[in-house]
Amino acid sequence: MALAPEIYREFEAIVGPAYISDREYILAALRQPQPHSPFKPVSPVAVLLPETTEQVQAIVRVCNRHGLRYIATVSSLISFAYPNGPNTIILHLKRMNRIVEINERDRYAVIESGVRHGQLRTELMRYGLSYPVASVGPGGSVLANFACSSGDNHVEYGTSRSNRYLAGIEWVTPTGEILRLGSLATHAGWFNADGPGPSLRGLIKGFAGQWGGLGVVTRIAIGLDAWKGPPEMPTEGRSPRYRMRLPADCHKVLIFKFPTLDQVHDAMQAIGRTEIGFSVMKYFNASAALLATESANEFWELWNSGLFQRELARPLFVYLSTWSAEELAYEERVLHDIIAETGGEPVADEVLDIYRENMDFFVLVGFLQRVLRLGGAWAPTKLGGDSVSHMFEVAKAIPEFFDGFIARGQVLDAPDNFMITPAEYGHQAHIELLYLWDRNQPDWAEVGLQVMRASLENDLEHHHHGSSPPRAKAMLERLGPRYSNCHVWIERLKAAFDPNDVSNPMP
Amino acid sequence: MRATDRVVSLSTLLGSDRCNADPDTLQGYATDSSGTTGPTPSLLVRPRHRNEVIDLVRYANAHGTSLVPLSSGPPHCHGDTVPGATNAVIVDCRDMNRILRIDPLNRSVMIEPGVHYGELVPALAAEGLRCTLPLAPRGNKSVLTSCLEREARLIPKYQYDAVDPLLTLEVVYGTGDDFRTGSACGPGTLDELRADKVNPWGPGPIDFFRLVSGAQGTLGLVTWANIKTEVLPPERELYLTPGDDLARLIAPVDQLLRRRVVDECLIVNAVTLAALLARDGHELEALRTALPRWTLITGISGLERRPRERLAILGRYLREILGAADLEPLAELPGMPALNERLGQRLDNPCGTEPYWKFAPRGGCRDLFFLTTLHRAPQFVARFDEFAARAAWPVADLGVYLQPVIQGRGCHVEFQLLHDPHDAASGARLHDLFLDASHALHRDGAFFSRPYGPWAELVYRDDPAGVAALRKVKEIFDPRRVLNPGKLCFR
Repeated sequence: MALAPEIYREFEAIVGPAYISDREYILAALRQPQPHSPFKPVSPVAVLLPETTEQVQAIVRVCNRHGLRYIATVSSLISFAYPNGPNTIILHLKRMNRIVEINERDRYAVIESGVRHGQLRTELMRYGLSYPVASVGPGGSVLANFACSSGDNHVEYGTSRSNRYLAGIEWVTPTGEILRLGSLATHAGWFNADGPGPSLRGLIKGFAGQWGGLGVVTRIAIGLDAWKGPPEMPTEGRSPRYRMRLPADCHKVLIFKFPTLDQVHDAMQAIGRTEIGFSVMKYFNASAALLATESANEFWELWNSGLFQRELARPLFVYLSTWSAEELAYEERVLHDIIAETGGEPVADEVLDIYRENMDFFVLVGFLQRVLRLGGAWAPTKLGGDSVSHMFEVAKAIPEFFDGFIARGQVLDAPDNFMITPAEYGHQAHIELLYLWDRNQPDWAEVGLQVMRASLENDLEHHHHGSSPPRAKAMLERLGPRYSNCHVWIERLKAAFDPNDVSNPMP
Repeated sequence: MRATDRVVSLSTLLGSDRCNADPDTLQGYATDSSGTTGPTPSLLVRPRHRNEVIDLVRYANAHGTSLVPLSSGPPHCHGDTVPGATNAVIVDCRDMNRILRIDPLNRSVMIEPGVHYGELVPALAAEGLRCTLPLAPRGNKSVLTSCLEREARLIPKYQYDAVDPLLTLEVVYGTGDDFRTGSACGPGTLDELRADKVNPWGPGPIDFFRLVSGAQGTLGLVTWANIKTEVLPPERELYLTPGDDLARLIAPVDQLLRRRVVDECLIVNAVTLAALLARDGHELEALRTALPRWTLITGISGLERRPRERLAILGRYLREILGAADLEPLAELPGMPALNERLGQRLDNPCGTEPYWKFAPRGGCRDLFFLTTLHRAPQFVARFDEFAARAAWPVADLGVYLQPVIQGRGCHVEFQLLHDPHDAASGARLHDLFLDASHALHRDGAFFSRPYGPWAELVYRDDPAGVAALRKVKEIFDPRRVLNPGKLCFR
């Protein structure tokens, strides 16, 4: 379905003729199915590239007037960035890519939607500042991770989930009002996102974000931490063969392996109570092998050698980052006490060296897109959060539903390919199970959903909070009653703020 | 409905021993120490269980009755528990006072609204835990309310956003529906759920716990909450750094917090510090005149393993950072021995004695507080001083407390106006100073994030879009407007 010429002209008057298109060859790129997804997106009717908040507001108002749906996006790496119904326009926010302010003194940065991690994180280093970069690679939108999607990261043990760091929000509501939340609401600056009174920031993002389903977040301020590294990444070589080592007197990576998950749990809990370390994780092993190799052939060679299955089945990654050599030595002593008590031992040097040579794993995860490289299909499941203890409980139940998929040859034989990341020194934790499958098998289109369903059913059976109800109407309706009737409140809020249901409606 | 019918109905619902219609008692709820006044409530009820709260809210919806929740013991200080509508029923949750679960492994505690700091602090200490306290709260202050209302806390490094340390909670919305937030939401009933209920976010795309934070009970009545706790450090050292120049004292605070060197971190003036430490009126005056104008109080801690080694490193950082600003952290202030231990007691415990330390000097205290950034705090202090001088407010009756929050990315600024509540002339001056200064500070960029009483009009009049959004939220969670009417922008 094409966009009516008079509406096109309305939009054109807002963004200018250079920043709108309904040409077929442009739209074709915006309805391209993702490799792992069996769903073919509906074609959008136009794509617009606004430059300012006011332009976004004007576009949203036109959409409401004409009943057009809109999806705001930057990186478009997830299925929610693609239309699931007719009469949808894409609001591509990549022109809104300004770092509006870096406030070194008060430790916040104000950014627009299109600012990427690679742009902001490296800039902040010059100021001795940092923030927890979501594990999405340098091309991910900072704003999307903080305010619209998920945003778990490799250093949330020593920091937190990214949404904790929101310090101010400018939000174009689904009907086109501009709201400024927190201290910004009363012209007090960009330093606090909650209040005045009830925190409307709660509407913007929960455990996951709204994925564009409740208007468009056009600017945010994020709180910044101190950066303990140099002002520029000390990189040698060129991608994909490069090394990035931070100064050895204050930065050290250690990886241990344990005979049981319970021991990994005990070590993780004990470390959290001492508040040493900057990153602590039980990391994936198959995904780690993908990140460690430069081609599919190399991956298979490594994976088939069994090294990562032996060394990283139950690993504990620890990255120590301190202000002095003395502090590093102290943290290492505490760590070794804990590892000795809990029965861990160091992994083989050939595995450890990968992370010692590429500490960007704890900064920007420069080579994250390698996990997509196999060319088959992959998906995450679980994606829930609660205590460290509960996440291990969830993990221990994974074989109950996952082994069957492995036995039937439907997914890669990688039962340990899950991550448990503690946050805030172990006060919470997040779990994620990544599974890979071959698109050449006859039922490939079903595999992803089957694993997700089995995972959810397993959570329901055990009453595990291994995931939140997914963003899909039918699933939400079915599962909501088991989750405190959350669907009722989510739907009422959506209806109140988006009465025309035009802001990226839920599939 | 007539008042007598209401008493009969609610007595049937909760039991007659749970309802109090004594006029003298009720009259006491028509005002509070902030000077806020409202209609005398028609009844006070004391529910014991969640189901009774649900019954109450449903009753209120059916009969158009206003409910005003409270969970702390007196004195109430912000006007939020004074009815804003006639024939209101005070819902006193102090009998919902169970500590439901202490989880030492995952460092959290699940409490009902009537659990007060006076009970919780020793219960946690027995399990090797502590909660991050506000500055010497009243022993009868509800922990849950304190967290819900986003009170500033002494240890900024443990605070990742303004709602921290609140984790999950159960709320009875104004519709009478109950709901659990974050990972407490499910799957299944609370009894079935295996989760430890420590993930505050969600469920799904909404941070439901944030919506009821700072809401003064206008959206829902919280029946329990899970609160983050921390390891009780086996060793702790407190340091006092005196200074005359506030800006100079604040500058290194930012560095201390960036590097996460310190746990407790606050700045107080001589009036506040004297009020905190004095054991009687005589000592109060002696301390007030002898103490430095400003004191930076910092604590460093040794945790469970190798605590002395940690203390040595953090102590060196502390001295280096303060030394670079030509300041020196001291175990004791010159000529004033044995304050350190008393101060430690004060910071680690709620105030168990009567009168409350803020009320001890003059009998009354009105707090004017807001948020700003650390570096702007001295400007606001100077600005307030102008107003205090203009109002001829005695320097001896003006406490100042600066509390860095959220890792030092913000600062709670609090002016404590000590006054004699029986002195009418002083009361009028207090009223004018409070309002004039609030308006001016707001204009200058102070963020009144918890808009009690007259601050509500101040913050909401400039934010019509925000008000419209809040009213949509109110319409969903309390469509009959039975919960604490007249507060915030819900007038």
